[in-house]
Amino acid sequence: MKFRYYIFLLLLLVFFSCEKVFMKKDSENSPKENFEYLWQTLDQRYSFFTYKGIDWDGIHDKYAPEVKEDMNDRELFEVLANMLNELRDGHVNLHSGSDVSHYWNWFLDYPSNYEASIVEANYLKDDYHISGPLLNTIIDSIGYIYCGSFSTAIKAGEIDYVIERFKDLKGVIIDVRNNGGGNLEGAMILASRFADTKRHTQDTYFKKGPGHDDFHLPVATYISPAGPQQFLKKVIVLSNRKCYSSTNQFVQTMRVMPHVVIMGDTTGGGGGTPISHELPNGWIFRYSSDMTVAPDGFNLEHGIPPDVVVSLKPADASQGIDTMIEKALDEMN
Amino acid sequence: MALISMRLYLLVLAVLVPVISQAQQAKQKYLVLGSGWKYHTVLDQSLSRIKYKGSDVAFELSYLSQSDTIINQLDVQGSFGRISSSANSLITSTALTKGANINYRRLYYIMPLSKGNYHWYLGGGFLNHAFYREYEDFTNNIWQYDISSSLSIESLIKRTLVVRERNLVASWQLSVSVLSAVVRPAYNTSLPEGFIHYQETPVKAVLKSISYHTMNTYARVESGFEVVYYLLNKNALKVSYNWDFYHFSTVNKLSVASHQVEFGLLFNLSRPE
Repeated sequence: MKFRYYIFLLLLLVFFSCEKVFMKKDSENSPKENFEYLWQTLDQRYSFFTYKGIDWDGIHDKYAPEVKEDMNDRELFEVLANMLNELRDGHVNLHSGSDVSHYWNWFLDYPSNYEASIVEANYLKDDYHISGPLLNTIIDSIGYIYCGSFSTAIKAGEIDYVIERFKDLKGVIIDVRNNGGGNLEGAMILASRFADTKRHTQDTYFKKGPGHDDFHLPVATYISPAGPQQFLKKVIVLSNRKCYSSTNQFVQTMRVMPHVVIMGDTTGGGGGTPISHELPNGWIFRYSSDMTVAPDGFNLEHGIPPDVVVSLKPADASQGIDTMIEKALDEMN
Repeated sequence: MALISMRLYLLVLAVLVPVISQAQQAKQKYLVLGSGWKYHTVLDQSLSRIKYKGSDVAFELSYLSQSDTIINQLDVQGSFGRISSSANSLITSTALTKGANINYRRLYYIMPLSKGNYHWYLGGGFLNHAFYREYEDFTNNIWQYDISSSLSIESLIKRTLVVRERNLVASWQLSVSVLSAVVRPAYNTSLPEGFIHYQETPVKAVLKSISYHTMNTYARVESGFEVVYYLLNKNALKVSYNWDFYHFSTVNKLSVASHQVEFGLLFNLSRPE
């Protein structure tokens, strides 16, 4: 009798596990399968094919012959990484656990226009304040903020402290050179302390389906004043090619304010939001999932040109002078 | 490993069942407290074609009212845990999970189908389900979720058993969702549809995010087996096994299966006669 109940219970366990009938089996984990899955997922989900004029079918035909069933993981990684780099997008990576593919030509192909040692030794010096990620000091009655990363979110109290400190100065320089991005919310908190009124900063096109041009209608983004006070006198934002992703969006946001001048080099770009996806072999890849454009329709993917072009002169740099900061100080005075 | 744990749990429960019992009384009201283990298999094709598996701690609080002709149950369940994939030895992708169910079921005794010790009930239910997953290794789309409210057809078969001179009530319950309102992330984002063009109130955004489905596009089946052991003091103990499967077959395909083993206490709320 007891045995019969145990059998009954066992049969129930087996019978009730019938999701295997309905759930798709895990994909075959072969080099070919991984290649096709990566190509197809991006074909349906990547946001910049049309804008960049990429022949994705042609890229499939170029790389598919390189995929062999007997290739090892490293060889497969190289082929997939090379295919991803055809997208010319810093937000596109492949993470295999032992390596991460990257496309860095958006800054490697250009002059750096930034020397950290010069800024640290001759401008920040040793008495600057560290308000979270905002290194701030006063140079010749001008406020100077260096923000090298948005990876650490800027807290409201940190920027409010800096605004209070600089409120009586005639201008502020916000130096975001070499800031590769990070937390967009923090970047917008920073920008909001310089906003005079609510302004339209950009439009985002979210994908709504697998077609290359399947986008929702654009979603407008605005910046509004926030915090106990805003700094509305002259502001200069220093940029270079390493300003990427949320820093690119920060520059775009500041750019719409009439009292702000963007100075330096074109930003690196990165106008799409990167999201992750997984290959059948467990490798994780990132890709741009949407597209942002300025209110005038200018696509932000390849960077934002400055209002005033200034480059770091090697002759200045050799004397410890940052040409861009000096130009900004001249503009303020 | 999880299956072994479940069987051990059942074995321990069997040993702990008290000696004294008596037959079920008609028109009883119970507060049910329960806890157990839930084992998930998740295949979310908006992120991956790899199944994520793992277990949750589950708990239940419910109100049960049953007479000879009607069974009413309001059930609140919660669970939390972790799922992971083992597709790659160098990357162990994991996701934290949180789940919740609030279900109401009403069943009526069907005399023509009931024979001998077998008692059949048929009815309907209003099932509300939420399952949240946080994929730790992902960027900007770490939050994945599905929220559903469904109208369901419910059936229940009860049988009284005598085991070693003790009365037990065994039941098997089947629930099939027929019409569902579902919220899922929109294509290529963690945001639901209504929050992409968010310009109004949160309530309006949520309403815009809801899509309505019949069994063709949102199929959900729940099947549960339960044994209740009534004590002399009119309280009861129960042990149950529940299988819950649903499949969402739109552009962001999702399949989730859960197996839950639970031990519960039924506190009699009826006044003494």
